[in-house]
Amino acid sequence: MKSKLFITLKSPHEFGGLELVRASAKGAKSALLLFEDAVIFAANAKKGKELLSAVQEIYIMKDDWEARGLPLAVPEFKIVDYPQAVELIMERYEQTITV
Amino acid sequence: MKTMVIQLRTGTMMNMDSNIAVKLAQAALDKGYAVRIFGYGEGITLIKKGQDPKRFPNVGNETKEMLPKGLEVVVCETCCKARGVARGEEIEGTKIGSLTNDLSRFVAEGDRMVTIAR
Amino acid sequence: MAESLLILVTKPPYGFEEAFAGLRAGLGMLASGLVPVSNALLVGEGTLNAVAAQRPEAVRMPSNMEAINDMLDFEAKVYVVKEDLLHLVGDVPLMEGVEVIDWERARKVIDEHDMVTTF
Repeated sequence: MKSKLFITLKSPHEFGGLELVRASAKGAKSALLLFEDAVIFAANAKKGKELLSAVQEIYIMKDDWEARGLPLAVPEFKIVDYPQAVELIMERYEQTITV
Repeated sequence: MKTMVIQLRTGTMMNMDSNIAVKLAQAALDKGYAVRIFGYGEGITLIKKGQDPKRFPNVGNETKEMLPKGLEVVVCETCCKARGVARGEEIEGTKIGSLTNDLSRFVAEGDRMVTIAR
Repeated sequence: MAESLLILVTKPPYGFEEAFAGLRAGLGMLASGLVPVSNALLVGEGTLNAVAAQRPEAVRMPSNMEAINDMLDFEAKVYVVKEDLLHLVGDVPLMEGVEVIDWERARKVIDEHDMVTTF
């Protein structure tokens, strides 16, 4: 199966794509890349762990994370900058799917 | 050289989506990739001439500055017409085009598509 | 260099431009001759775009059913994930020509395409 990088820009309150991610990621190398208010998942242990149950890796954007000033509640989340995000999109995963 | 295609469907002042499109494009260009942005739906506002968002980042200017570095930007004409944006109102160097002629070309030439939408 | 684009429709037919825009984007690929394969996969609330008894004229909106039929006329596939439809509204009749599939098959459909774009 093609490796998949899911992308979301939605806050935990807005995000309704967990089941879609879970269903389409099954059996594939997969990760989620969180932008904007989606980084709030990193400050909420319960909701962050829910995301981790659907994909293997979770990346959050450094600038969006720093801007919000929140404590990291899910240490498994990896903080990345734009050059690293480009590397994930262009080299590390074969498909990107926005959810 | 690989190509990143960004399909942007959010308006410039709705949230930070267009900033993300611009920052991704900049980082990809810096790493030596070609970048194509297609503005669809509200995403057409990215190329509107004369944007003046005061204290917010001016994504129109930032887009314009990337054009000589290998960025191509096209937006959907039908979406422009729906929103009363006419030819000639686009930032110089960007283009009002179509799904059939331009997005299809971007897809055919592209290696990855990033959809920036809600 | 992508030869195929999957239009992943997650939004319902009314209240958003997305599903209409997505199906039109698929048609654009097919009409261009540059992208040989473009199919649509309807998931979640996106499955409602294929409900047979819709009357878009009731809210003066364009018909996504027409857009689905246009894609089918181009011999593209329009897949609908049955579990998602059942979960949402039960077993309501769907338009003729769409292909009803489960998630097992939907994963393969996603894999068969070079690029995926969500609407």
